[in-house]
Amino acid sequence: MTHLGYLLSGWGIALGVLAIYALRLVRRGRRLSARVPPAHRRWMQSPGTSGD
Amino acid sequence: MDILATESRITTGSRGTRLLGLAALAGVLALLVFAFVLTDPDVRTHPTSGEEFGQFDAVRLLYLHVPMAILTYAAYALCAAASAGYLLRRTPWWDVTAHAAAEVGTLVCALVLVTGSIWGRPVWNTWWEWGDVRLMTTLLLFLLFLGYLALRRAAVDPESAARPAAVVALVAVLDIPLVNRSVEWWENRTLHQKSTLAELKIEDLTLFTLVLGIVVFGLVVTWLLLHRFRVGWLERAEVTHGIDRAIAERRGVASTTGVDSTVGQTREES
Amino acid sequence: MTDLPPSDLTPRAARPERRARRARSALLVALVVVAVVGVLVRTLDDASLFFYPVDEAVELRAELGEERFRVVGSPQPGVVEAVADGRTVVVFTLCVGEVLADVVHEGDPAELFQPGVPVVLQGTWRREDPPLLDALDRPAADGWHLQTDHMVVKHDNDYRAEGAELEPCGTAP
Repeated sequence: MTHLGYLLSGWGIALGVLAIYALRLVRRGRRLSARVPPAHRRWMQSPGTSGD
Repeated sequence: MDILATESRITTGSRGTRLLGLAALAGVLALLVFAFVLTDPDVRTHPTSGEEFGQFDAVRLLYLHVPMAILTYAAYALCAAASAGYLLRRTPWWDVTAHAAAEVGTLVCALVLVTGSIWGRPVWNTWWEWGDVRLMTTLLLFLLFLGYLALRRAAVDPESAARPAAVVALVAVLDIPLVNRSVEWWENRTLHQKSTLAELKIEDLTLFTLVLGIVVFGLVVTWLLLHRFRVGWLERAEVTHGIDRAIAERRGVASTTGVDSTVGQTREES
Repeated sequence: MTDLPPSDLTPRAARPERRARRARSALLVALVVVAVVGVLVRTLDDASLFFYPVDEAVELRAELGEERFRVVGSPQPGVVEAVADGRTVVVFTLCVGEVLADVVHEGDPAELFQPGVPVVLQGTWRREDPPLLDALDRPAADGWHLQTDHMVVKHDNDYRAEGAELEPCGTAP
């Protein structure tokens, strides 16, 4: 395969950066979720319950 | 263990986003197989000399770079639409959506610049070409939205930054048509090729893999947007909750001491 | 009335960490503004990133004189490597439509420098035929050549294995 270094760099950087950002988002969300009561987390309420 | 359960750990995930995440992960794996194994390198034969030419395996960066570029446009367009929504409705939902779209869009735009540069080195023989209209308008788009994010960070509270940020987003998004059309309008000022998809100069498995890339990275970006929105929403809620709790505590103190407990109530409550 | 402790309503100074964060963010805003202005100035200033198609460059040969400029065209099959004045050069013919121009490029050609794939070259006109003129398949041989030292590739947008179109170039008898 030609240009393997460029291919690995391009795909590696892109997927790596997206994965790191996704992990950071999940951790940030987990930390914040613990500090906020469920009423403020509308996406976790079952349909039919009132919003916050 | 039910990995789709929402209450097992407190997160910004929901059943829907978990399914979306799984689909995105599976999609990325499938895309890697198509991009690296099933598709052929770009090799063509010169009609008169019979010599081989093309991008060879460097073309496999196409399945990454082009979807990222399309999703940058989509994320920034969403940011602009949500900013307009905020200016009309003035509700946090629009503002948090705009902020989430700007952040995710800027991340993806950075990846467009980086992957484009990595692709450009073997194919164009340069990492970067100053003065190239496609590259410069894309860099400008990235910097404008970086400014948007910096403006939001510099603000004391999200409310005060919402309106100027919305205006910045609506101005910055005007650069998108320039980025997109630059290869047509200033053909002799850019190394960048014209749109392959618009002219449909792509076919078979190469076309399928490119479309698959757009769908898969579309799922990834949607997942990121949903989670970033929820993080933004929680940040707002944390502030509101903190204020509510402080008021409740104050009211508790007041009721034990006989002070009028309506003092300090929010407008909705009174 | 009440025994509540008197509230301290004196405006408080911002917490140091918040002040530091705001200062950092303000600095970031300033840096972004400087970068945006820099990009604009650089773009406007570097208007030299304009390339003439070969036919225009040939037409404007007298006007261009000794000036360095960029030119775009498709290399013709038949690329010759040579040593001129102790330096390695690549000699080939560039074309757009039916207009041809001979080129002597000094330095390494681009990795994907291939006949049929347009290149953007930077250099000047020289009023003499290139070396090894006879070795070229179909030279312009008009007493001029482009002396270039910077090469980038302007790849097309065609990814079809069969039936990919190449700009017709230099096909006239």
